[in-house]
Amino acid sequence: MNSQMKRGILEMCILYQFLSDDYYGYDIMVKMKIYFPEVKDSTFYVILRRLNAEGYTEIYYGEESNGPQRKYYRITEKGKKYLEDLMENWRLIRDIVSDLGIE
Amino acid sequence: MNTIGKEEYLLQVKNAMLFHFSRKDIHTTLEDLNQIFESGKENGKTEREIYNEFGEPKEFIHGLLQDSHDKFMGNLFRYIFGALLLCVLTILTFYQRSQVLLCILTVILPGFIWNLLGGGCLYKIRTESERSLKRFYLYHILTFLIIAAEQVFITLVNTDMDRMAPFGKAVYNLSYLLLIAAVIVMLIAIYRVCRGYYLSFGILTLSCGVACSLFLYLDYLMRFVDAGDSYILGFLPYTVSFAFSVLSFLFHRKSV
Repeated sequence: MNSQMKRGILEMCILYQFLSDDYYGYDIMVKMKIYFPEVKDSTFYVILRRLNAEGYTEIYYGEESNGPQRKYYRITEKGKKYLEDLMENWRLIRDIVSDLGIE
Repeated sequence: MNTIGKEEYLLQVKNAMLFHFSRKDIHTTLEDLNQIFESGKENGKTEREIYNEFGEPKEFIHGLLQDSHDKFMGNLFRYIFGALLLCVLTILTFYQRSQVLLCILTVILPGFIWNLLGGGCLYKIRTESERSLKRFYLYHILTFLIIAAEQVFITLVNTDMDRMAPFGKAVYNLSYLLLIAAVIVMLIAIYRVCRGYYLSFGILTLSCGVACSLFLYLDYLMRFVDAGDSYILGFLPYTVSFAFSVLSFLFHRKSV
């Protein structure tokens, strides 16, 4: 997959996961890996990092019974708005592409 | 495929990040990586498996740099626009020299505009920590204050030449020393920015501003004429910073 296209799609997919639940870094990588087995975890991490830097997600630390505290990511209002835009764009592209006859 | 342990992996990432990211960013990234390795082990994976899934350090760093590169491209237009606007406003200032208040306003205001439009976002591409961003703004505010003070001083001297007398030769010599120091700091900052270490960008603008102010002042003292024709020096700090940020961007792009 083209890297620019891939990154945009992965961004949407990752952000979408956060609508239903909060995750910590490793959790989301495992989850994404199921759908995108060929993508390296570092790619997911870079996207997580960017989403956080842009303020689309926020961090909080969870209580753990053993081991170090885990860093959880939670979607923000700004993030929800951004995700809506991404999904809107995605539907538009999908419709155009299928109208062209590409399945 | 050769694999390395967690410790060596973290070390490689740290070394690769050293010149491009703030200390805080490096710390956060290493902490995150550590957690990823630990979580992987809890799920029954070996370090080798985690390494294979995460990807090589080189690939990871490339991703991080690509990200900053994209952000830079997104912000470049705003930055150029801010810098150009500032240059125009600064030139206008030099035609309004007679009024002290106007002088301050026209120097400081464009400074803030520049910060809002471009300087801050250019800097942000390399850091995510809010505290260093505040320090960056502080450098810029200092630069503008120094330039404004220098302009006010020249305006005052213009109106009343006798005010010069008590300052005497000491101020003159001190200015020379400061000028040399500022130029040295500026050269170091230029080198660091060219290495892709954008955190030195604030210091570059500051030292450049100080050097230009002092130069303008010394120039004025030496010639004892109205320094109005040296207005180019007024916006030199921004022009130089701008030129070097673009140069460093091109330089950096090659190294990725």
